[in-house]
Amino acid sequence: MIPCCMMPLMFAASEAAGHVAHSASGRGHASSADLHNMLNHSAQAFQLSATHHVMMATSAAVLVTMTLALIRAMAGPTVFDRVLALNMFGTKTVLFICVVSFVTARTDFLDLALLYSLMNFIGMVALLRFTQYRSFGEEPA
Amino acid sequence: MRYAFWLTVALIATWLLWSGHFDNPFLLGLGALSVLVSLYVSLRMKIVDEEGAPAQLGIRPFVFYAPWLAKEIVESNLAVAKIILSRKMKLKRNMITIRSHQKCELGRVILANSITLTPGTVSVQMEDDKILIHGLNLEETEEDMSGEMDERICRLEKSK
Amino acid sequence: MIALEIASWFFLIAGAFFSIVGGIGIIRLPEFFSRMHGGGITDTMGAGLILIGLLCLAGPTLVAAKLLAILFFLTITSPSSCHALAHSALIHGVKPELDVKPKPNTIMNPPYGPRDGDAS
Repeated sequence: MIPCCMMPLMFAASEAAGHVAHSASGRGHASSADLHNMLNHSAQAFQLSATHHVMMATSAAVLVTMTLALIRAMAGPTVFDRVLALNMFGTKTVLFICVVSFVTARTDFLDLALLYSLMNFIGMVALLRFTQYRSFGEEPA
Repeated sequence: MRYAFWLTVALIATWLLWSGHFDNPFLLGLGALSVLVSLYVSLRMKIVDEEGAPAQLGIRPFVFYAPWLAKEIVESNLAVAKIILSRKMKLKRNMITIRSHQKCELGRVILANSITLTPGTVSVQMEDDKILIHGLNLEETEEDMSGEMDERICRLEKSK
Repeated sequence: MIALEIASWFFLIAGAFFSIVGGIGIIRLPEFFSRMHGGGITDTMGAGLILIGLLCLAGPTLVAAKLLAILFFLTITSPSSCHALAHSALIHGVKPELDVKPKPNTIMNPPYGPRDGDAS
């Protein structure tokens, strides 16, 4: 049996166990089945939030990487450094969209990520063709 | 013909998987329409051959080659990460030329892409069967560098 | 289910770590041809591990198929664009700094100017 002074803490710790708290306080004490139920609920809530935190940390890391790439894009001595940094920025954008779609549980964002990865590639090749041939057309200008 | 068939199968699977609608006749009709249009356009561009729709490789690249490549990528990633995080970066930048022994262009492209995919080596230029590689920290000689990769891709394209 | 979630935490954290390492590499490495390797780390290991971590969370659904498609396209397109970039830089006369003196026959004929059938 858990001391009564700890109960508010545990109840506060898990929102999911709210209805258990209600039923327990109504009867004046918590049965072992109630406690078991409650611990299960709080464990689930903890896991959900832990995954959430991990995904938030991952998206923050992706944002840091994007910042580093932007620093290189600004500082890069040659144009190719800038293009490289922009390519990396695009890849990181795809990853960022994926992670955010999981954080917000809106998985239809993944279509955007898919499209963005393809457009990033096409844009890169077009840019490099332009630097090579000085035009986007078929004939070298 | 075989390539066109497998291209159609891949296009239909792509449409179904990415749309996620299996029972709406309007959307399925649109899917059939777009599959036909892309098939027509790619036939007209004459890119439906062993390069554009490599059906002769089958599922073997994913089953036999990809796991080995993933292992190589992880190993070389750890090596390059160690170089970047070390206080004094010990670089041994080098450029070497290797010879590829694949018979068709597709095999050479797979080889060059695999070389670029493993961090620490980037294929810079391709001419006939020679591939120029820029390496961040190349310790191997030209022979055993990517020798196994070359051999595996040869095996991949040979067994038809 | 719990095991999958813990595995996904591991993959996500590892992917985040490697992508930051690649970002540091793109800042720290000395010249263009070396920086490409730093970009390669984030493109392969960072992207791959993060997407695998999300795959563990997704379970066998259509979402997983989309994630696999993204992973497939990234592994196809990232080396292609990296190669195109390196080739284009070499054509434009960006000289790679080398620590080892290359053998005389190593560098191929200097590819000045576009040639026919050059597809980058």
